[in-house]
Amino acid sequence: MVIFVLMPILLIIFYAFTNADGNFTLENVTGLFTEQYRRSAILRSVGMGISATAICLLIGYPVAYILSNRKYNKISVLIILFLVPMWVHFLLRTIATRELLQNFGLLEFSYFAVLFGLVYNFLPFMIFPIYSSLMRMDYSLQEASSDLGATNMQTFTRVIVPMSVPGIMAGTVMVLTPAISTFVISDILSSGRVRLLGDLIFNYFEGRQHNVGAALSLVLFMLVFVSLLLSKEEKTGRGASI
Amino acid sequence: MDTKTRTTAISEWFKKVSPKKVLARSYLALVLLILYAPIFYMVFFSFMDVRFMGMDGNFTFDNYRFMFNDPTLRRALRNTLIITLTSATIATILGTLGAIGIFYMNRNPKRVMLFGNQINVVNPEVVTAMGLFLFFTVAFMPLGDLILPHNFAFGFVTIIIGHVALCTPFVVLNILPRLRRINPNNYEAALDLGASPFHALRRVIIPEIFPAMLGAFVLSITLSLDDFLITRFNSGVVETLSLYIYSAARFGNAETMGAIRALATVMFVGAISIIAIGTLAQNRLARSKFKKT
Repeated sequence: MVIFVLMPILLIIFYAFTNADGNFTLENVTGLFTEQYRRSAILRSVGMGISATAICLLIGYPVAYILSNRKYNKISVLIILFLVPMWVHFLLRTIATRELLQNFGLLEFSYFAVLFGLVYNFLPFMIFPIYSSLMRMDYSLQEASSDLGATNMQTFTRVIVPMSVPGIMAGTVMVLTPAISTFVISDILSSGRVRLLGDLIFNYFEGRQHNVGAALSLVLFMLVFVSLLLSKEEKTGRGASI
Repeated sequence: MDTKTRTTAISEWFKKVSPKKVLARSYLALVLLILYAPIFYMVFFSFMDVRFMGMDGNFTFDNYRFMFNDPTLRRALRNTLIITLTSATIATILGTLGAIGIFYMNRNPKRVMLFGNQINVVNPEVVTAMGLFLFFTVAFMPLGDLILPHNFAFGFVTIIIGHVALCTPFVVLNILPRLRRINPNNYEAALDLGASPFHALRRVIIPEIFPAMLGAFVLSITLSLDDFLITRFNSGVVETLSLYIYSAARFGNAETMGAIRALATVMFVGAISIIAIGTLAQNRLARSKFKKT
C-alpha cells in the first residue's frame, strides 16, 4: 500500500518541480498562476465543481428525504431505482446525454451541457449518503420534537437537517471530487469547448509534457486534500462540542 | 358505475392522498424520469439504423448483429473481462487482508493507515492515473528491464495493477465495519481451543465477513468496468471496452455508434435482471427464515 499510495504522489510532486531534463524548476508551478490558459481552467473547474455540487444537493436532498420518510414512501426497494443507471457505463450515459441534449437544441450552450452532465452523473452519489444518514436517524426524535411544540418546519430545520450533516458532508466530498477533476464528461458534452483541469492534464499527458501535467495534478490533489481535511475538522469539532 | 358513485370515489381518493404526498411522489417521478431518459433513449435507438439518435430511421437488429461480430469490440470485451475479473479478485483478497491487518493495529498506526486509505478513496482518478503512469515509467520499467530479457511495456500488467490500486481502498472500507461487528471472543475462543492463528482466521473470521467480501468484489467489478482514465494512461496498446466507447464517441461511424447503443441496452438489461434476481433471492431467503422460526 505504501508503494502504490505514497510513491505515485511523491513522484507527482517530484515531476511538478522539475523540467523535462530532470532539473529543479518552479516554472510549472508558477505557470499555473501566470498563464491565462491554465489559470482560467483551474478557476473554471472549481466553479463548475461547486455549482454541480450545490445543484446535486438541492435536487438530491428532497429525494433522499422523501425516500427515507415513511409517510411518503412505503416501497423500500424504490431506492434501488436510483442506483440502476449507475450500472450502465458512465461513458455510454454521457454519450446518451449528449445526443438527448442535442435533440433539444441545448448542446449549443456548452456550460449548461457540461453542468447538466455533471449533475446527471453524480446525483446518486449525493442521494445515497444523505439517504443512509436519514435512515439511521431515530424516528422518535421527530415525534419528541413535535410533542415539545415544534412546527413541522422547525422540526425539519432544527432536528432533521442537523442530524443529516454527516450525510451531506460525505455526499459533498463524493460529488465535488469527481466533478472538479472530470475529464471525459466536459470533453464529450462540450466537444472540447469547455476546458477543465482534467482536460488539461489529459492534453499535457497526450503531448508528453508530463511535468506540466504533474503540476496540474498536484493542484487537484491539494484541492481534494484540503476538502478532506475540512471534512475531518468538521467531525472532530462536532465531537468536541458534544 | 354512475356519475354519483364515481365522484364520491374520486373525492374519497383525494381525502386519502394528501396534496403533499402527491407533490412528493411526482417529484420523485420527475427525478427518475430525468435519470432514465437518456438510457431509454438509447434503448429505443438501438433498434434504429441511424448514426445519431433522434434521426429518422427504420427498425433493425443490425446494431446487435454488428456488436456481436465486430472483432475489435470482441477483443475489447475479452480484454475487459480478463482485466476486471483479475483485478477485482486481487483487490478483494488484498483489501480483506489489509482490513484485517488495520483492524488489529494499534491506535496510531491505524489512524495513519486509515488516513492513507482515505486519500486514495477521494483522490481524483486523473491524479491516480498520472501518478501511476509516472511510477511505472520511473520505477517499474527499469526494474523490469533488469529482470526480464525483453522490454517490459505498458499493457495488461500495468492496467491490472492500476485497477487493483483503485479498488483496494474501497474493499478495505467495505470490510472494516463488518469486522467491528464480530464478537472478538470468537477468535480468542478458537485460539484457546487449539486452532492456529491462520486456521482461526480461515474458519472464524472469513465466514463472518464473507458477505462484505462479496459486496466488495461486486463494487470492485463496477469500479474497474467504469474506469477510463487509469486504463487510458497505462494501457499501452491493449484495447478495452472503455477505450472503445471513448473512441467511438469521438470519432465513431454509424456502425460503431449503433453498436454502442446496443451495448448500453445489453448492460442496462443485465443490470436490471441482476438486481431483480438479487432482490427476489433475498425475499425468498427472508421468507424461508421467517417460516423456520
